[in-house]
Amino acid sequence: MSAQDYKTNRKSGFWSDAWKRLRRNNAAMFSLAVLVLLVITAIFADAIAPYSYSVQDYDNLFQPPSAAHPFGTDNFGRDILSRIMHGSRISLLVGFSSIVTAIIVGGILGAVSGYYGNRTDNCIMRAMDILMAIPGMLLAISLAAMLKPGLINLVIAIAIADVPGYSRVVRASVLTIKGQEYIEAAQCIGATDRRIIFRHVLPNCMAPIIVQATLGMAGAILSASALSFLGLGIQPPTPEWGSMLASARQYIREYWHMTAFPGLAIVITIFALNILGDGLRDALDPRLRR
Amino acid sequence: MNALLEIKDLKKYFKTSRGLLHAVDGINFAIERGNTLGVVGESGCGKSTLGRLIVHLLEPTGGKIFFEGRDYTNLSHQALLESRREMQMIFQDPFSSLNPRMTVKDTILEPMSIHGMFGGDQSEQTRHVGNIMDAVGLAGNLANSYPHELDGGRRQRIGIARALALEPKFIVCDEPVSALDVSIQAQILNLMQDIQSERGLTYIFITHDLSVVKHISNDICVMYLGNMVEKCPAKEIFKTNYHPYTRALLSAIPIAKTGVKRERILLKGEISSPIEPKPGCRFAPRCIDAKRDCFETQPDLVEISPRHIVACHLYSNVRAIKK
Amino acid sequence: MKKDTILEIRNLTVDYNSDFGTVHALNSLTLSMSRGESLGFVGETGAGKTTTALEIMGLIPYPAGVTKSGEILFEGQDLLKMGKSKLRSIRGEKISMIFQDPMTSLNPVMTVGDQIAESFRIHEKTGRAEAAQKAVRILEMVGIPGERYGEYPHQFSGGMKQRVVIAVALSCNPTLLIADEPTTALDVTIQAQVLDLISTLKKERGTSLLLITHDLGVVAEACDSVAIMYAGSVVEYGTLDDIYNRTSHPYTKGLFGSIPDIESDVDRLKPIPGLMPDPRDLPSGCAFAPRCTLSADECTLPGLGLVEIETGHLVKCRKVRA
Repeated sequence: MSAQDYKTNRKSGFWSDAWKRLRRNNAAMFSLAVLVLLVITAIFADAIAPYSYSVQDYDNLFQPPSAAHPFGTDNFGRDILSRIMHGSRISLLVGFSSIVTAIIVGGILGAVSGYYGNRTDNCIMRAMDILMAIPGMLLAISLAAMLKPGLINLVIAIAIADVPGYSRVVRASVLTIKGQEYIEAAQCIGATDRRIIFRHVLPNCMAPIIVQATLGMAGAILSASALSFLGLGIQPPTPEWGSMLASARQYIREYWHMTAFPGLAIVITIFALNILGDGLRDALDPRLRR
Repeated sequence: MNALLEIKDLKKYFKTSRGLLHAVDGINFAIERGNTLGVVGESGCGKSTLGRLIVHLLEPTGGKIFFEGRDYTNLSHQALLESRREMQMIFQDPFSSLNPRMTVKDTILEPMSIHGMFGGDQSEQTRHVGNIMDAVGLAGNLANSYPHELDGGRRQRIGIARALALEPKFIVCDEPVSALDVSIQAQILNLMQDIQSERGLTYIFITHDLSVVKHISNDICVMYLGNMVEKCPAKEIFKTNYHPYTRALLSAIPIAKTGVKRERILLKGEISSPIEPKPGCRFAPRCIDAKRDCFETQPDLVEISPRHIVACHLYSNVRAIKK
Repeated sequence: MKKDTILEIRNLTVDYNSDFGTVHALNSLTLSMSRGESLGFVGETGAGKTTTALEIMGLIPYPAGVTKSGEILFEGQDLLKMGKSKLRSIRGEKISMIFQDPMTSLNPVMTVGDQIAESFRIHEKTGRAEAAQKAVRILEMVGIPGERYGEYPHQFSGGMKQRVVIAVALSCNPTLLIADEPTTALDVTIQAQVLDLISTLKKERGTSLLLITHDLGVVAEACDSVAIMYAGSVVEYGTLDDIYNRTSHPYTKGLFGSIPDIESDVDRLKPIPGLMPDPRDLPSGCAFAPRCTLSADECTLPGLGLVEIETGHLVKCRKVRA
């Protein structure tokens, strides 16, 4: 085997190259570790949380952080650490499922719009423009107010507000990819439109979607917290970071720990997602390859 | 004459905000089985559009395409799919013509699985991939590589392999060597010649490079702004040429030799816009020999010697062959 | 060395650090150019042509590019040891560069006239009105009517844009003009116009020209001497006559064998077998040996250098002797 073939003996592909680059980004890897930890906490919250999230303890109201209650207790004497652990379930679930919903809907709309162009494109994109003209938060608030409060409706409210963003990202990358010669080559060998979209177009616009999704998930978690804070999302006693903040608000002067810890949980999660998103963008950007 | 492909008065206009763009404006020619027709011209002359019209990547605005004597112009969905097995295309850019997420094997296999070749037998198809890779000079151990791991020359071989997978009779080659380095370009040109003689293929070879087109073609067609201005046997073009544009083009090619003293015909200005072109010869505004006639009527094609046709008013005394 | 040497590069070695290992872009490149000369710098993709130009201009991307050793003497001064501000004044005033793509080397939101005038104002400290006048003059010199001073780059065609780029490059009357594939993006008839323009201007002003290209035809038209690059170093150097009529290095011969000749009828080209070596893993000894028909055991030995086989004709090959 000559020197020229060395490149091809290397086990490689787009994703493994991207992973290699991501691994060298310490901040992104740290964020990834934080998020993995968070996911594990969410999954095993029942097993690892020191107390139940709903059991009220009237002997221990407003306890400051201590060995027994590392994050203190709230106005019903419930352990804040346990509530944050359980709350991570809701936050991650809402964040993840609303983003997945938004990507599927927005992605298909964007792909169809970009691939077919002309009138189809015009109809879809003008509808998206109308959605975009309404501030995302306001849209989510009005949707959440219109629907009944609850997990699924919260997901729907947030997802709808995010759809235009994804459809635009996907449409833009589809338009770029559509101009590539391999799409013409696929037409030339007789591939159907469906095959071209799913085999040739979508796999090649995964990178910007993933970046947008990571950054978007941070926004979705924030929206979920905000909606719950306003009383339009998850209802008590189910713990949710935003609703925890809302109920702690009135005690903020006397009992700082009640707002500080749920707030910190939100900040850390959002921060980790944003750093990871930036890291993924660098790792997946083809201009930085080689 | 055993014409494999014949096109008659083929036209393609594109709508733009400034009016109709006449990309291809009434082209006629026929290609005999096993031959290569070179189409040469500068950017914007419509040569790529012409190639895409022939393989049905674009639908013509007017005119007809005949393949093996059958009308191939307005095909039904099914007939179009069948036609893909007869004619294929090789693309210019070895980087963008391959899907970066598909391995070499998948890329060559895809046309076979779409068309259910070998009765859909996957192991037969995979064997066929091996044969084709062999034929285009790709080492078998590259089957699972991705395009970005390979250099331009090998990538272009993949593009050729994909075109060969359906065992077509006819291939449109759109600038297949323009993006390659000279030493690799020569390898690919030789490969394409070998494949042609082994498989009895017929080519349309589109390029801006006159030396390449003269090397590989039997006939050369020179295009200017959507029109064919001259068509002749490749061996003649350097010594016997008539159209002022062909002459200017030839004189502009830098030749890799010392002491070549040539009279260079420097053209005035640049290619004019193909949008809503004015009547008359498209080349007239840049032509050193332009007369009043040239700005008023479009010249007809005339046959100056056997198989050598020119569209230019300078030769209008020669008997017109069309219209 | 030649009498009036304007540029001399000695043993220049440059590496790029990439994700997948160190790319040896230039490997002890040695080259010299005399005043007023046009040197064709020929090679294929990855031969190190553009890296050389960027090194001369001090534009090697940081921190990926590392200059390991060597010196670049311009009018006797080493550009690599020079301070930033001094380098900046040389770049632009004495050395200018034309890039391959005219679209990306012009500022899209500035009129072409202003872009030329700007360079007068920076380097010659001329006033606004005078700079504008000079800009109009230089536009007309490259064949663009002065009325188009106030137009933006997108209003020009490709060939016209390249003329503007040439005008910007020549605005300060540089001693050395580096042109990196100046006509590759242009059609042949436009290429002919631009090449004519470059040669005329060069003759009028006595500028030295380093013309980087892959096209041996362009070199034959525009240059006096030629350096052939392969895998980061010069493998053959000489006058146009030396290179074209007494071709010596097997790689140069291979290049000529790969070009279809429009004047004669050749049925088959004689390409160089194989591929360019991986610049991360160059063969020891002669980098061309694995593709060479003459290669022998001695070709893998290190310590190969350029040898003068006749006056001014240098070849880097053990199999070629005077």
